[in-house]
Amino acid sequence: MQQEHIQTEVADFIRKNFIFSDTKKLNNDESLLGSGVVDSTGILELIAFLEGKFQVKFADSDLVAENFDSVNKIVSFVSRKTTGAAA
Amino acid sequence: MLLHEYLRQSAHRSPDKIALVTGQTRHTYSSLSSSARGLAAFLHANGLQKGERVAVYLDNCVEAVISIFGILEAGGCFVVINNTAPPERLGFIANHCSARFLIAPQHRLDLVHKAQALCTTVPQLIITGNNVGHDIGTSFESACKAQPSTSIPQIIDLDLAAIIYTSGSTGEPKGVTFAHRNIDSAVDSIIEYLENNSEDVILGVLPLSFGYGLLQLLVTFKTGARLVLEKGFGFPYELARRIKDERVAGFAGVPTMYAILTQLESLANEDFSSLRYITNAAAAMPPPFIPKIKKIFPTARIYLMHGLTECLRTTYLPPDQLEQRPTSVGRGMPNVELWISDADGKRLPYGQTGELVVQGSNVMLGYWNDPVTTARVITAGRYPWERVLHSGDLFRQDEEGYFYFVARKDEVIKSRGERIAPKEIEDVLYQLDEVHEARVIGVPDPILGQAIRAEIVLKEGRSLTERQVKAYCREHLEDFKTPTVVAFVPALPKTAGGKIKRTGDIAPTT
Repeated sequence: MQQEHIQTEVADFIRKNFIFSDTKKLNNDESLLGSGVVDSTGILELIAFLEGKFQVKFADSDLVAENFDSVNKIVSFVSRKTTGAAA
Repeated sequence: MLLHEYLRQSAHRSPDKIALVTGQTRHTYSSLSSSARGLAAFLHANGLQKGERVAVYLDNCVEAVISIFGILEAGGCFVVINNTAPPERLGFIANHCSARFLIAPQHRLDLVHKAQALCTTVPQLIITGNNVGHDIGTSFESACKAQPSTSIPQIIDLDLAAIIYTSGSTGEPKGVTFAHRNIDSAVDSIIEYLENNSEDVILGVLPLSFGYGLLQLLVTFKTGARLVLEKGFGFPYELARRIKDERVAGFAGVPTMYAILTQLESLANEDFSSLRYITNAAAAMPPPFIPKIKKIFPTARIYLMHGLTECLRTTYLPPDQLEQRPTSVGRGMPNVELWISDADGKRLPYGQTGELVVQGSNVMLGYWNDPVTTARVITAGRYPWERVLHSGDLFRQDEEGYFYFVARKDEVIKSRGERIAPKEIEDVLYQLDEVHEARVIGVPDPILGQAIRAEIVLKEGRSLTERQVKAYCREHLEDFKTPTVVAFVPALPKTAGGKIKRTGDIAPTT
């Protein structure tokens, strides 16, 4: 359930701020940078949004592609971070 | 030297040396050279004539590198197009330079087909990616395996080598056209002042479609060094790790990147001792960044430079002058003569502001298919065989000959180091039926250099949202041209003649 919530929030944010369109498809596995959906300054905006929204703090060393370069990667990383914080 | 000799000669000297690192893959000089020669043979066998253009619509990847050298090897002229360009722009460029071939990735075929539809003569497709079906085009992989050809005509350094498309002040892309010797001259000057050598590892983050990005590849291959090629600056920490793990010696960036890097506090404790130099060009480095960069990269010499697509590079500030003149971009690089001129072409004395004028082998041949605009920027020198380039950048010089950038002569916006014509974005805004009047201006931004601000006066009784405007721009422009801010205003400032002013304050929104 938590994961679904994160996914909706992330996809909404990307759609609102980078795609600007409700009809264009967002593939959850696609590389955000590689597909050109989000550019490099956009990734930083996205990260700031995630920190605010889910009350997590990322270390500089977390800011790598394997954690943030697709919707699914973000969902799994953020949910690991949030459950980690709760434990 | 001919540009494709860079790869050939380095492959001859050190065939097994790792020339290029892309992601987790390492490529030797000999493997790149044999692929490039295969591609050249394919292009030649399929009718590419000397000087004909081949468009390369790829991001920073090994196929882009092979394409550049393969096209040159075949006697062709490469045109790398930013991989975020929308189909209209890709089509415009391919058509404008009459590209004979188009090299593009399989996953963007939809867009490529839309672009092809805009071409009078449709370029033949070469497709990168796995399992490319015969029905859609030639697979890049198989093209690179063609039997090397012995019948490629003689190539000389006056032959066409590259066209780099850039935004003009009118908004139409301009094709900055180079012969081998123009680019080779710039590469030699850069190698001389940066003291590049074959032991270097260079980190290439800027796109190959951009002069500054392309030079990273060429400088590396001419010296027989190694290039770590990244797709972009999306994950700064990852790049920092790359610098460490690959023992990077040289890094080329724009102020936006340094703004982001210097915000990562944890980097100050990392070991970046391999880094010998970093360079900055494309936009002025804000002086407060310098001590922060020094803190993170204490071993690196910092080179502030100036360049423009039309001659690739003009100046560099020797690092020992940085303390004394942090706002200067230095003096002319080797083999380039620079001076400051008034509107009548007269040389101005020290201290006065005027246009930077450039003479050197690095100056472009001209704008592709545009003699009128070319004649405006390239004029005769003192002697009939001399050609001088008017940069469009206003500078002044101090008594010791160091140059200081003052402003652009035209209204071009510099955002993230990219040159952006307000008119190009305004033209897109005017396509929206709701828009009565629009203007686009650059506003200062600590990260972007300048942010793009669009101001719109709506037609009576009509409405639009910021999001709708951005969505429309995103569809019709490269991502870096999408306005950062869209403001709806009751009126725009006008000149006495009734023209919308592009300079001055932002329009009040209430």
